[in-house]
Amino acid sequence: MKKTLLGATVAASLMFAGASFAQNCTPSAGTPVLNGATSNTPQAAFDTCTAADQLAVSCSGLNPIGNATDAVWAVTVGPGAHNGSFQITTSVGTYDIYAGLMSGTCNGSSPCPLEADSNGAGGSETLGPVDGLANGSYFLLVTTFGAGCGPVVITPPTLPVSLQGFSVE
Amino acid sequence: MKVRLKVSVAIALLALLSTASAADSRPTSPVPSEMLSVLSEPEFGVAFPYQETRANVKLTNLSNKTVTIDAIRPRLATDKFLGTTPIEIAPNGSVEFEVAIQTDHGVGRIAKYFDVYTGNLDTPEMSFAVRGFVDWVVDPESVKVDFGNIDEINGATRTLTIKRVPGSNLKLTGVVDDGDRFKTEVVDDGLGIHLVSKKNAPLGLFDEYVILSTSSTLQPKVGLRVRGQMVTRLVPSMNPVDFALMRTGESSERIVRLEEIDGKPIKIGSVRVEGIEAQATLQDCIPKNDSCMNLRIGFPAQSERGQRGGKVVLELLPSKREFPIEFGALIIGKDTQIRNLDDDLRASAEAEPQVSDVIRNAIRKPPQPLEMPAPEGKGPLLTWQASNEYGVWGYEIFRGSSKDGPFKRVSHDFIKRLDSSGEIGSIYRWRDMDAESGTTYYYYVGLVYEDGRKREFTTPQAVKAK
Repeated sequence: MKKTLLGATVAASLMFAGASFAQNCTPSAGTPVLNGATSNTPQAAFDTCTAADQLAVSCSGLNPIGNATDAVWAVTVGPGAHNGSFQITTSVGTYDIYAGLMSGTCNGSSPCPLEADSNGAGGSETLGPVDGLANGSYFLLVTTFGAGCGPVVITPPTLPVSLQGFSVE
Repeated sequence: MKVRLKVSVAIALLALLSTASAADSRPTSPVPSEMLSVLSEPEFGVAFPYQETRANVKLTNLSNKTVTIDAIRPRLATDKFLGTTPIEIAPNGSVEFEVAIQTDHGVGRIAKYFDVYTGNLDTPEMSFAVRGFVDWVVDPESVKVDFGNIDEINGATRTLTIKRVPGSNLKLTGVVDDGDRFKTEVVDDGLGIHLVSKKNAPLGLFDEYVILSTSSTLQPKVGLRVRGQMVTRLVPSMNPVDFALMRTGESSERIVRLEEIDGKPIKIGSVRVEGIEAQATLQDCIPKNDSCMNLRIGFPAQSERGQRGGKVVLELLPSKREFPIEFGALIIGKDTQIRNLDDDLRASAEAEPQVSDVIRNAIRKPPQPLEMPAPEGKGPLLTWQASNEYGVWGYEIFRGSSKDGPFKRVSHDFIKRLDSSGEIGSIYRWRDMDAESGTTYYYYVGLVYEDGRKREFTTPQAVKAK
């Protein structure tokens, strides 16, 4: 018997691939073009303890984020070429960062275009690459799957990994 | 077919409803537990798609009282806690148990979450994540198709060739589940997939996985992602309909233009909304045109935060087939603050540097790359240096007997990134202990990202093993 694999995230993703934004969350024009920043790129620092508990679920939908505080930034990708990845770091060894780049409705159910929870407490997260993203408006969410909060530093997309040397002897 | 469609719709609606209700019953505690702790991050190691794997978890009682754990629940029903509760942990004592993790089509680093309850089964005392890396034999980038709109009269076909990890002889052996929309065949002696859209497939958006079996014991199943929209001659100007971010107490409205692409009159029977209380009405286009109608969707004000959405189901006449148009929004609080990254970055750039920072930066030496020692032994030694290692999970070594291959992975495990920050850079060394003295080999280093993507990091280099 064949069965349709239409999961929760699929259903929701179908709903939220749209484009237009409500007026109350339209980011300002001219936000980062993300053309592969250099080391001189400024960083955005923010303490998520000063944010509110804004969202109940993460991009994955079935992974509720919980009562932790959620910091949300409006981000514009493009126009023009864009590449690299966002870096989100914390100086608090107990803060386990979860980061997601949400599209369209900034919704909590559909799969995010990008999400990251690769590392544990105190670890940094890499959100990207943004290369495949359509130009448009997105929302960057920084929170945690569990409890806690802390200061974070967001670095816009940086240069991709590069090879400095290779030898076989 | 219709039964399956209804099942699919029901599943989708259940998912939406469960997600919406999740907004009301958040399972995690807002503050870290002072009672329980996972002292080392639980890891399941390396797994492959569509596989069950396990991890050990050690919970420690940080308090000076005995703690009773009443329940340990995975957030995804496919994962499992493999112990029994209640569990008593003595003061400053620990308990170990296993959890089972079910992987799906996703690759790269994944995290699965569990909640631990002590007494109050509504609010967990603490939560923990189990992480691991889902590797692959069939490159997921080679098994995805976006069809866009599929006109059901003309249909759509597509043939794909799978890309395998170097050295693999995996072949596709059959179709496990091809869903409602495509007839799927394995072609090209197990290296290709041929898709043909089915007549009378469910209309509307789809984003699903066709599951195929393989000859590989490492990856016995492959998920082929298919996306698009099945349409008749009636095409909506947008689907899904995005109401974006809405604040509690605000209502909103969107208009979707429906057009019959053959220029014939549009005939629609009933219009209903599923999944949420919303209004959907059909109106004439301006100027009036029989082959055009406007669908007006009114999203009423919501009082609770979270994701809300549903679908407008149009009954097409005379076929009586149903065409769903999805819509949704994320409801946030009236005073929820959305920061602007550009503003924050600009403020950071324009901020006057502190004198102490200037002095610190002037005297600080640039950080040196982390360096891996050379493994003992006689085999060929590979050394490479990487910088900007953001998002890199690790490296693999491939070996061949000629510059053009074939190559095979010879590093047993991933060589994990040394620099956890990603910004310092690292020098890696790996020695081939299995090389035969006097034989010439070609080696290259493969790069593995945290999201599961892989690419060749170096070109092959030759060496004669001593």
